[in-house]
Order: sequence, then C-alpha cells, then structure tokens
Amino acid sequence: MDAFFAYLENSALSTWIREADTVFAFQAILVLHTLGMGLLAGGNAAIDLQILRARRPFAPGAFERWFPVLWGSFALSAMSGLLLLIAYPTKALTNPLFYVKLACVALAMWVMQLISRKVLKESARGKYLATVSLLLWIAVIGAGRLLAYTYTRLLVHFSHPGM
Amino acid sequence: MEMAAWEIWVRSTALSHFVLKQGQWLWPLCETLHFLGLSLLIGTVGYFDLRVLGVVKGMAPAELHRLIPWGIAGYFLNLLTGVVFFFGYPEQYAYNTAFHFKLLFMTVAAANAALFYTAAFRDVRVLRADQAASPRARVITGISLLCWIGVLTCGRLLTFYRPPFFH
Repeated sequence: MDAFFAYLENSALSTWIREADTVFAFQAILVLHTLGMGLLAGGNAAIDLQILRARRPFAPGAFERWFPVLWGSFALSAMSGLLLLIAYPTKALTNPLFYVKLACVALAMWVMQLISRKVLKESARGKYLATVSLLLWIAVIGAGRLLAYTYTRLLVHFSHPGM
Repeated sequence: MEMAAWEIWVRSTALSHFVLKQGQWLWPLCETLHFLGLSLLIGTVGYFDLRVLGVVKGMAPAELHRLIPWGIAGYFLNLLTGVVFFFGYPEQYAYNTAFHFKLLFMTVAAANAALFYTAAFRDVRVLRADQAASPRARVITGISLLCWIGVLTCGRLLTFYRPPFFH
C-alpha cells in the first residue's frame, strides 16, 4: 500500500493541493467540502426532522424536485472529498474511521432514496426511515470531524509528530 | 502581550475552566454539533436562497420555507457551541481576522434577513413552483447566500489564521 500512497502523494495534483501557496488550493477545497456537507447533510437532516416533528410534513409532490438537487450536493461533496483524499491518501486510508464514514455516507444516500420514493411520493409517515437517516448524517459529520483527531500517519514518509 | 481585562474575566469563568479541563472530549463534540448546526442552516436557508435566485427550480418557495425553523435551530446551536469555543481559547478568536470577518458577515446576514421579511417575503411566499421571483427578492437572497457562505468560509479557515501568540 505504501507504494501506492507514495505514488499518489508524489503526483503533481496531490503536491499542488498540499503545498500551493494560495487559498485556492487546499483551503478552497476544504471550504467546498464543508459547503457540500452543509447542503447534503443539512438538507437531509431538515427533511428528516420535518418528517419526525411536523403534523403535515410536506404538501404532496412538493419535494419531488428536491432530490436531484441533493444529488448535486452529493457530487460537490464527493468531488471535493476526492481531492482531499488525493492530497492526503495515507492520512485517510490508514484510519479505520474513514471507512466508517464512507459506509455511513453510502447507507445514508440509500436511505435518502428510500425516503424520496416511499415517504414523500406516497405521503407515508416514514418516521423510522427519518430517524435512521438523521442518525446516519450525524455519524457522518461526527466521523468526518474526528478524522482530524484520530489519524496515525499523515503522509507516507512523515508521521504526525505527536502520534 | 498583556492580557486585556475582558480576557482575564473570560478566563476566570467556570465555563472557561471546564472547556480547558474537559477539552479532549468536549471540543470534538462541540465541533460536531457546530458542523451539524451549520449544515441545518446552509441546508435550509441555502436552498431557499437558491430557489428564489432561480438556480434551483420546480419548488414553491413557501414549501422550502417550512424547513427554515430547523435552520434557525441550527443557528442557535452554533451560537451556543460558539460560546464554548470562545471561552476555551478567547485569544484564538478575538485577535483573528477571519473571526472578525465572520462576525461582519453574520451581522450583514441578520440585517439582510430582516430586510427580506419586510420587503420581499410577501411576494415570494405566493410564488408557485415554476414562477420566477422579483429582481428585488433575488438581490436580497443573493446577499443572504453570499453572507452565509462567507460565514462558513471564515469559520472553516479560522484556525489557519490563528494569531501568532497564545496566552
């Protein structure tokens, strides 16, 4: 694996994201990833909370056009996340929590599809799905935040001094 | 650098001591809640703004607006967790240009929201799914979106611009 990490980290793109002396490299990508998180996790969480707490959550059919937009937010999160992964592959891929985060994202997107099909179109209550979805998005955000605290290797040839 | 009187007071509070003593679990927990709060805000107000601007189409603004109370809840969650951060390391924020700009964007966003509800909401709430909003409503929601993205950007990049000194 280390050879693969070294190959990625020595690539021009990875080096540029990490080392370019401009806010439009690493910092801009980090902001886009946070914006994607807000639109994707926040949009989903708001729907979940609305399903859980409101007496009449949605007018029938009103949210049908919402889900393609949420997929757009997913694309923003995934692409910015991929660039962050290319910048620091060792850091993410040697941390088990990173795989937990990815699994939670996959599950949450699957539940989002179920909610869009079953809950919103048929006006079923779907409180069970909404609860699962909400917990998954909280887990995604929590795991993502903890990645900054739990990694054991930063770059293939450079470990975190404190670890 | 001498500590200012306000900072001596902040550091003398029980909250400040608690944050420093329990930071190892409290800090990541509050960060997670802060990220959840910002998501609720951006994931409701952001889409509402995008719809009024015409970037997102096919939904009645009034339907999206029903989600905004969750965004407001997120806002207050972030005020609360923000106070925890500030009391833990006040100098990291008070002397940080990114934090100053964050407060500036928050202030403009608040004034702009007040303007929206007095000058544009009445027209926006009756729009059907495919109706375009008035230019005035678009300008106001455009400012809203830029301000909240500004708040998010300054907050996320805040630690890159820490002051060089720590008390």
